[in-house]
Amino acid sequence: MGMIKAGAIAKGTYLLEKNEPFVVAEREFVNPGKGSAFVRLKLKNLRSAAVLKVTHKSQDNCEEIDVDEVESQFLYSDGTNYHFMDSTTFDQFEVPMKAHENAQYYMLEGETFKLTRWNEETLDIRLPPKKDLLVAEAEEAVKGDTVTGATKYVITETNLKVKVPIFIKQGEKIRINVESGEYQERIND
Amino acid sequence: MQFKHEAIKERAVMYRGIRDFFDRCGYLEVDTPLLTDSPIPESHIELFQTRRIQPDGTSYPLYLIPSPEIWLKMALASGSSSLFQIGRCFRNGEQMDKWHRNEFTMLEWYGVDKTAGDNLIVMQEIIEVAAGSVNSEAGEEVSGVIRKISMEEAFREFAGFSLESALEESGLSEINRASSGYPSALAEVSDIFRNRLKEKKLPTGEMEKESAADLFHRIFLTFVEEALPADRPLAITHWPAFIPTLARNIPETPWADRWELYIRGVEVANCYGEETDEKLLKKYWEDESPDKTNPDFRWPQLIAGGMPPCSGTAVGLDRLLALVRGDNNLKGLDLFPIHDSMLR
Repeated sequence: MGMIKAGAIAKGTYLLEKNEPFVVAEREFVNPGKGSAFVRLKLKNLRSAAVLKVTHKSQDNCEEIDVDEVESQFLYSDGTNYHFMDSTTFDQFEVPMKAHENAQYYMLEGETFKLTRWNEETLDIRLPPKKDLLVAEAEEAVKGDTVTGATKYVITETNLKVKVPIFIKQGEKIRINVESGEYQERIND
Repeated sequence: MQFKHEAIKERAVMYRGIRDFFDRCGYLEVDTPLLTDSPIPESHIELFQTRRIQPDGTSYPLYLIPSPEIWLKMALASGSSSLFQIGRCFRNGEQMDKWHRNEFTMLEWYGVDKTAGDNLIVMQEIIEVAAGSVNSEAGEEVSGVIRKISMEEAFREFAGFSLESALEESGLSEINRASSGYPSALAEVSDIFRNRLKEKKLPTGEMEKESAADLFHRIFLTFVEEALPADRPLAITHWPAFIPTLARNIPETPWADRWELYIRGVEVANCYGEETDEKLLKKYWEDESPDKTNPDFRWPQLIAGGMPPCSGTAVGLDRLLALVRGDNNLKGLDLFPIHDSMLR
């Protein structure tokens, strides 16, 4: 555990506030009319996913969490927890889905991810910015429907519902922007 | 090097409009130095320092002005009528982000025999001039009628307690900065603020050592500022007089004659009914000077010696231009800024 001045905190910094681990989602500097500089932070709780807004003076000391990055293989999810295996030690461990619900749509069994760990607890699953997924279910395009820009919904192999152009078919691979959950392009392997 | 050609033209139209407006109202445009050997002391502003090298090789420090305030007040004290300036200001140590630059353009005007309330009417006109200078249509949230809300109203509504009661309880409503009981009253109001923060289970940080002004700003920034309505420009009036500024006290009240203007939640301007009392001016210099044991009392003496009752307003013109254009940051609004490549 190290101390960090609030003014040095950046997006992505891991912090301990009220004994709970958080990651900084947004950071904004504010200088009130006549007074010291402050930093406004939007924090995401890494256990509950709840959002906390805090305001610190730039000179305040905050507790920064010293995290480890561990390569781990995603084994499966049981609906409550994700099960991972440390790629170096082969230790298996669980990560509650509650705090990282979004991850279920971007992890395929057997794939390896970087996990942020602190005191035996997994704080964060580092997802790639883009993910290619197979379309598991898609409606057939209606014949004659050639309107440019027409869209429909498909379901990916990870159960993600996503809006795509009308020409996408079942069994094709599509690229998704992980942060927004939006379709980017069709992938031709 | 990227800038928005249209914004460069709009800036020129806006400057011309502001100059025409003040000219019609009988204000004198002045142009004062950017370099000074003795800047106005503001303990929260970091300065850019340079050195004047003399022919014999010795040197002494000079500073880029953080605002033209001191010069404009000196001009008033030496007999000038109402006046204004559009000029560059420099602040070091600022975080470079979407609304902050180290170098920026400030409009500052002083109306003789005017109060902060009078200047709010002028501010509305300036917003109109700015909005009329750009091609895009500014909505109500930018050019609507300025909503006035006092700090007391804002605290009751958004922080859940009466600031006025806190000031009364501590005795701050009765006395001024130069009174002997002032430090203990400040300590008392700090305790009240600390308790309010603790009740709300906020991270207490270094709070025990913090000044009343810092504690006030913690509450203001955490509960009030973000909750303020942004559907129209908004002026927060009647700031607590214990925050050290050069705004005068409204007699018989704990409030300073001061407002700050927000447009779309962004702070754009601030205004004081100006302090002219020599004793209080000197006290301010003493408290805010970097070298508290050796404040430079030349300015407060000169200002108090002849400054008429007046009110001054400072407007960040880069921010105003961005806001009336509908932009969400300062990017591309001026030519060749040093910071664009550093914006995060």
